[in-house]
Amino acid sequence: MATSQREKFIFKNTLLCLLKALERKRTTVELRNETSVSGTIDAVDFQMNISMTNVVFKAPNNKSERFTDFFVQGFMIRFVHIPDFINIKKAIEGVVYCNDRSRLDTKFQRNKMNVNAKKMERRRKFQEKEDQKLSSLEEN
Amino acid sequence: MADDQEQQVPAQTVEEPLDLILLSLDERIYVKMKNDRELRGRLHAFDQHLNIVIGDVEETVTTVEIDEETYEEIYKSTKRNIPMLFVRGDGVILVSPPMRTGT
Repeated sequence: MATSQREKFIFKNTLLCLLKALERKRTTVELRNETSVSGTIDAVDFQMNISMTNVVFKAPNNKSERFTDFFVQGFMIRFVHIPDFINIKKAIEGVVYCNDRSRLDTKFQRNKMNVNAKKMERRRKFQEKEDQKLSSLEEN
Repeated sequence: MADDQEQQVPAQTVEEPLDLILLSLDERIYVKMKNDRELRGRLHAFDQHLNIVIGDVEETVTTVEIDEETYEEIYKSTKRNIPMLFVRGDGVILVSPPMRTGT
């Protein structure tokens, strides 16, 4: 699923770029129904829908529940806490000024990470085999 | 090159309503929200939907309780401080410079 032109436009022209930069960070999202969701933001889309992992869901009666995955509808969001370690200007510039797909398209970004991980794995195994060959040659 | 959109120097003339908010960038503001909520803090960023990034914010939630016996209305407010907050625009009613109480 490629990011459509409309999605790219929305990310580059509204404050959604800041939420996009919060992907893979831990924050708290407060919803319109007086509940709060604290977890790692997995993905943000152009409608502000947020999918999160490792979530603690707090109800108005202060009861907490843990979930591994959680999806929040964009229109249900009231607040998103911005963590202290985020440099807002750099985060927004990173999304607005990037010309490649990687930062706007979550699936593409995830694929890229997986491909890189596989490459590193292959390289490491190759290196191990080479080292084994060298050490066996030295013995002989 | 052009500055980042949030860092623009405010234009001399106010052409549209959002320009009024542009004048308050990096100043302390008062935001009235739905469900009897108010925010006071420093305006860092906003956009055309009125999504707002506000720092050093104090949120006030006002509730009205009605006494069973005397039927008088008791106004209670709860306050909370948050270092940096992103507010979704559809909950915002108005944005203004902070009100001076007692004037």
